[in-house]
Amino acid sequence: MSGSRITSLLAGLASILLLAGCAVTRQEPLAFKTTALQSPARIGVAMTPLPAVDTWFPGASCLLCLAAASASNSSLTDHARTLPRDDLSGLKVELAQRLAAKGINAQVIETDLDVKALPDASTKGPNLADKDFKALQDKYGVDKIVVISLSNIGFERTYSAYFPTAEPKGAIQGVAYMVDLGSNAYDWYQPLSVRKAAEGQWDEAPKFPGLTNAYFQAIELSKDEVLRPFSQ
Amino acid sequence: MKPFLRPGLATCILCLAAVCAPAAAGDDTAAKIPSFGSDNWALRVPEADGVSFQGQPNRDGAGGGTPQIMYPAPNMAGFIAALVTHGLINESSKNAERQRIQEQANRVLEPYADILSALSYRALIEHASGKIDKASAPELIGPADSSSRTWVMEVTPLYVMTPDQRAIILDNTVRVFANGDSNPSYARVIRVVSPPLVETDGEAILKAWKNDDGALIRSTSSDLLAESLKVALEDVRAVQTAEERHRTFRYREGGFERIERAQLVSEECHRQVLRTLRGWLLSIPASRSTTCSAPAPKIEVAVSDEAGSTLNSGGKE
Repeated sequence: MSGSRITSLLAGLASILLLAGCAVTRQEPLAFKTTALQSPARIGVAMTPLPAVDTWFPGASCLLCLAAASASNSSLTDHARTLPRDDLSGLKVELAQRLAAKGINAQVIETDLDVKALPDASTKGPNLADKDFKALQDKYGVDKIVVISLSNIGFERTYSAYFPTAEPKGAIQGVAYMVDLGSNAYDWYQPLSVRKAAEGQWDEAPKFPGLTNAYFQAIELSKDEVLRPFSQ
Repeated sequence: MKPFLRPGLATCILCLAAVCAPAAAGDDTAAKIPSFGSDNWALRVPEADGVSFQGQPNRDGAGGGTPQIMYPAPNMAGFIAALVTHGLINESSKNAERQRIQEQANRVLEPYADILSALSYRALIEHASGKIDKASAPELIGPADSSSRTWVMEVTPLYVMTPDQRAIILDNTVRVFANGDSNPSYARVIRVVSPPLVETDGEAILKAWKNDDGALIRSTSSDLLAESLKVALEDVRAVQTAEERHRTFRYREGGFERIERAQLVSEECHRQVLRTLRGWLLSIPASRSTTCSAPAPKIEVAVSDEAGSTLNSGGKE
């Protein structure tokens, strides 16, 4: 075997190992199990800390592209930071009320839940949580926990390098799930990705009324997605 | 261009009104402006033969892609040329997408082409203004005509049909001039949403609109116009009161649930009037009948599904 072929082989192996090392098992959406509410259980409802209302620009991937996108949308970013997010912070209370209406012992967990601080789960597998939630059973006195975790709140504008490919949209991104604290398995896993375009014109600085309306629409639609399984 | 698809002019006026609209008439002006019945009004009708109708575009999924590009940059001039080319291609593809979405939305009107092309603004407005005050209807004038009446109300209606064809929405740009004055004393877009048809089956919907040479399209269009004139007149004569807080309202637009952040302006028989964040007035079918003795509108509100339980329940600010 020639030296160059060995080098190529080693480079290929290294690439495979690198890719395998970086691979992360992605949790697929899991439909709500209707049986999850049937057994008498105390259910806790928690939220992770809400991010600030802001703008983000997927596709503006180089540093200069991102700087250009941030600069050209600065007035929208300034406006986004003035918008309230109170309708979202009350979501866990609303969800607990829906559960209570079904006769379920629901408990709102007042403090923000820091999922990253939980230990990694020892057992991995399909529809099992990556983090070990079992300790929360004793901490909060609940058998299951619903977690609402929002990662982005505000306005999204897609880019292709330096150029926007669309107008900005009101957007909410995150995930909501229910974990059985006995088994650390998901009873429900729902990624959230809501985008609403402004009706008609969007570029109405400084108050962006069309986009602001789209932002509140996105909030309502994301709340609907979270509450839907508990409304049936 | 087909006469019923004349959105360009109306859309331009809508945008202009949105940008240039002055606040509601001040208290002094409000005191001076009479109601339609006082025989002081002229109503300026658009000249167009056909009536502007269009489909309702949905741009929520527009421009979802984030294609990446490697700029060939042998030198600075080459890099700038590549950047400019990319910008031009990107802009053109955005425009093409916008046009495609609108054309797709307009297809909803194709079955009604004959009916819509026979509509005229003058007939709709005559009918609508008569509904407001039969005894003393305003004088109807063309865009270039003058009038001896003290006040002139200029209307530019644009009708939109929902994608499920169960409702018609009117965006009416209303401007009020003191006679001889070139600056409007009042300018506002008034949006009125018809109650949804009770029919949910595609064939039944088509039949309902097309029966009797489109009698329901004509009467609904005229009813919406009458409601917009009524809302405009009430607004133009309203005395400023304390601002209502902004809330999130939900309502039916055809078979779809719509959400609007707005202030409640008034609530009466089968309708609520809201002031949107843009300052437009929005008249929507109420989910429940408020105290009134008038019969329900001809098009009855469909029985709402699970989402209906939260209709018009203003959220927290």
